[in-house]
Amino acid sequence: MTHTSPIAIINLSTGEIKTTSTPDELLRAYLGGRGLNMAYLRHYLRQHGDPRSVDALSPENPLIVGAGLMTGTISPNAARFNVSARSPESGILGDANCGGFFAAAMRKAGFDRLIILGRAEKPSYLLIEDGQISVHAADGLWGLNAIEAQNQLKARHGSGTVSAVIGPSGENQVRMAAIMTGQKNAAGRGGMGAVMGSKNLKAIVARGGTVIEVAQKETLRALRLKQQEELKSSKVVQVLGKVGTPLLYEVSNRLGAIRTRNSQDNFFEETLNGEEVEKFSDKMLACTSCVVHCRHRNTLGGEGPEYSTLVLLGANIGIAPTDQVIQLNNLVNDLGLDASSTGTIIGWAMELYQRGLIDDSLTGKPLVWGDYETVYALIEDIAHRRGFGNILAESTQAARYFPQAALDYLIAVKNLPQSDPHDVRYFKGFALGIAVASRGADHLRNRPTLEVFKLPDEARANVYGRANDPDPTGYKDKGLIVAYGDDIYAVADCLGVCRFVTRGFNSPHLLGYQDFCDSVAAATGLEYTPASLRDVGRRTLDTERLINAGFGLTRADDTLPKRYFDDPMPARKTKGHHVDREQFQLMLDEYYAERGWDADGRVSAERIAEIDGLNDVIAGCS
Amino acid sequence: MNVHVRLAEPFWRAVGLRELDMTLPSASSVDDLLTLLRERYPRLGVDFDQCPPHIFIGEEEADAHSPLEDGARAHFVYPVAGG
Repeated sequence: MTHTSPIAIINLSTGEIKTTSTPDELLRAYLGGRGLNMAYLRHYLRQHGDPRSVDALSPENPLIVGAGLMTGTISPNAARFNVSARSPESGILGDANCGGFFAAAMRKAGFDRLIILGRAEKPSYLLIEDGQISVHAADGLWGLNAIEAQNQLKARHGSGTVSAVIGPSGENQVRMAAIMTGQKNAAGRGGMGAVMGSKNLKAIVARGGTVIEVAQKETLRALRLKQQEELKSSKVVQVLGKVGTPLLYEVSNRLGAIRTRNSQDNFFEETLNGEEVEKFSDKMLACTSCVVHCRHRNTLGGEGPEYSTLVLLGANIGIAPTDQVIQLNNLVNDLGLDASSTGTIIGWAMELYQRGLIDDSLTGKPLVWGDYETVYALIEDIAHRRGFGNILAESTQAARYFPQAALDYLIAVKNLPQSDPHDVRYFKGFALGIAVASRGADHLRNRPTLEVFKLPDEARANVYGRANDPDPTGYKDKGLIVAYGDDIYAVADCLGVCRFVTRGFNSPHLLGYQDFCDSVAAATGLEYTPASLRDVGRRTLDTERLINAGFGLTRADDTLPKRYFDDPMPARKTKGHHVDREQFQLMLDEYYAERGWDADGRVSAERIAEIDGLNDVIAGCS
Repeated sequence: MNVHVRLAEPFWRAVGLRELDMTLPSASSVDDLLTLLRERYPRLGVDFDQCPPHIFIGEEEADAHSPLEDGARAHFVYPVAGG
């Protein structure tokens, strides 16, 4: 069987819809998901000459929705898709990854990837059904929150309908708006919901179709059973299935690594421990083909919270009661906001208010740590761009409304608020990771979680390919381990596979390159070696680096929030730790060398030529 | 001497209790506490073998050789990180 990857290029301005297949050479080079999205994103941005001329909220910004190569098959945890565009939040590469059931439904309905161009004249939605795409008026949908919009679409198109939608935040082009599917699954990072809103696109609806054909059905089934058994024997998979990511809270809090009150403090109340969240959970839920089941259904009318939301809408803004944090979690999801950016930006504003850098004349009322009612109303105001909420809706770009000193307290890299709740001043590999992550301050691009384990030297060498320094608070060899995470997580994103089953993410025993090679061969007939598969990840990273270079980014942008350099952590085991500026530069040197980039962080000429050649393949087909 | 033990996820599941009090001879160490826990709760010992915990005594991270004092609070934490 020859694997084909159908794509649709939809111009909402003209109504033209072109369907085609991804060229084989491109498919082989990038597989799918994040990798292919990056290849297409670079292509479409370059069509306008200087990518910096493309306003992220203009019709010229392409919005690319791409399923992973394995997504929708029976391979473990192959549920995911990426949404990519120029980010209206950071101004650079925008890319969000999401689970749930939408991507499998999109593939079954006939398409692996949608490239959405232009802007619809009036609010609209796309219907993908049995290999056909049509544009419909979003009458009666525009203005609805994310969950109700999905319910309405099910009522219109049948219970088998699966949608990816924006809430009011996306409609109002809030720069941290997410694209939502289900009650909680979010393509959250970088404001992809705002890009969708700028295109007058309320929803993408998938229905119908058949099972996804695979090359060797029985082989893939056998691999699934084997991999599932191995994964289920992993302790971290077992515990995630019982407690979900809130399990992380107690661990980080004990250490003193919880982002608290905008990282002025580093530990918080025990009310946000996993056991407290469990009291509000009545079921654990899964995504397509998942063997982990990490998502809570909460008894307050939503799903979650994840550890990130728990901290960023809890400790980071001083809110301790478990029920209040869960209510805020449900609110941001229904409004279609990225919980990480929202919690970070509100925490930032609260510290500015605490320090007197902003006052009631701007905020309209006091911004006090832990004031649940004010925060609840402020989140609604952000989504609807009302009052001070309209300023915070600009995310990091709200800095233009504040005194210059405000930037000293912003927890962001490359203008993207930090995604995760971990205070990275202690584990230096974590710090390097968020500094170099291609979409800005984000842990899911490369986090070397094995730093937390006290693995024997031999085991560490086995994972990372050579001996390395076991001290997680030191600076040596962090380039090696971050580059390892970069590559294997990029491959997982190209395949549509969840982090929680990917080797290196909290276990050295999860699915690795050889497992992925076996699954890809069984599903598609495409043959890879572990080395050639890893090179897909490296190519994806290089393509992202080129996209960001096109936006003018340099080595100077691979940095950290000022606080992480200058302010020592205040308490617990991590007390006194911060990131040394000179040592940080040495980590960068090592990281660039591991990536094969020059000392300024530039991709090699040989790789640029290869990627440009692949771009020519796209140009020849479009 | 008495030591208060808190077992974080997932260790408590092997015991059925998140918190318990252990009585040890005076001048005991963390190693003695581990031995007693393993003897009393064999399933917990299996979990500790599979995922060696981070052990905190009060605010300080401890190892097997760390001494214990009467009234110490021991916290056994699963080694995990993420976001």
